[in-house]
Amino acid sequence: MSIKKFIIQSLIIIFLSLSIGLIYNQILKNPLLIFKVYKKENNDTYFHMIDADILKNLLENDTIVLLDARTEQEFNKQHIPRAISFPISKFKEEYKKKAYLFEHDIIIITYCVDIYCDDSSMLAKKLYKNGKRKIFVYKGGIEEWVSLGNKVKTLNTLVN
Amino acid sequence: MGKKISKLLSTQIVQSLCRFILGGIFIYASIDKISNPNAFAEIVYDYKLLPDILIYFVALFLPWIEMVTGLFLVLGVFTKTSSIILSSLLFAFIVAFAINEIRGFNLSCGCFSTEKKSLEDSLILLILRDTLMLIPGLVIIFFYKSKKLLYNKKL
Repeated sequence: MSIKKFIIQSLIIIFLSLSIGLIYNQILKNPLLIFKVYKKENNDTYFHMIDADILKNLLENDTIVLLDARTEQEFNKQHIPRAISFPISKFKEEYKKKAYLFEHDIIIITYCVDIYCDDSSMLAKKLYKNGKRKIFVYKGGIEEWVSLGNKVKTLNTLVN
Repeated sequence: MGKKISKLLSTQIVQSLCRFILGGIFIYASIDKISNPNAFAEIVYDYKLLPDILIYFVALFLPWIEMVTGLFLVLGVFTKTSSIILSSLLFAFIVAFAINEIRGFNLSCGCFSTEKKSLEDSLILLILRDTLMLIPGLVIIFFYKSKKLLYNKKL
């Protein structure tokens, strides 16, 4: 194969890829700013942290959805009242199954085990990337909630 | 012996197999990156090998180059050129892994998925895997004979 042929064929491939890429970028929900300098987003872009008091206030509101990012077993053991199990490990599956939760412009709050647990932030980030906004993370998690003497729910009962 | 191996490697079955393996891998690898370009941009950034101005550009176009070239290879269009491009990409990935292994960085591969997973000690394994993946590419580059050429030879 001659070098000339190789260059022409390579240019065709590159031209095709660039064209398709550019068109695709236009139809993306969050298109990439290809001519801008990359800026790593920090977590503040995705969500805001809240503490237990704010969570309690927000829980009185009907237009919130509280998501528990832990596993289903952990959720069944105990969870914050009104929480819905949404294990981060099964995000795609859960997101499809519980799409009805996000139909309206709703406030989303996530939590997991404790301040060291990253699942609530990860869940918030994934939801943001799926076009959800108004996301809050209760960083203290279930452990702080319990240590403050708040009510928790087990599978069927409400425990003080 | 050498001639026999060379003849075997240029047979249509071996060549097709190599095309399907290499092309298929790249098509598969590009799908998640295409659907999550923002996440892929983050991974490209984490490699700390490119200037920030190129991150979005590479994150958007690299998966499409993989997809288009992979498709061309599977379909047998521009076979040798596609193979050279994909093998060069593999070589570039190997160099990128090696640099980060030397730097001691713990980063997410971003090879088949944009999900951030810690690789810890597996960079060496990735280098080995990509080196293995280079084999079908090299077989095509060195032993592929276009149908036109074969036809002329028969004449």
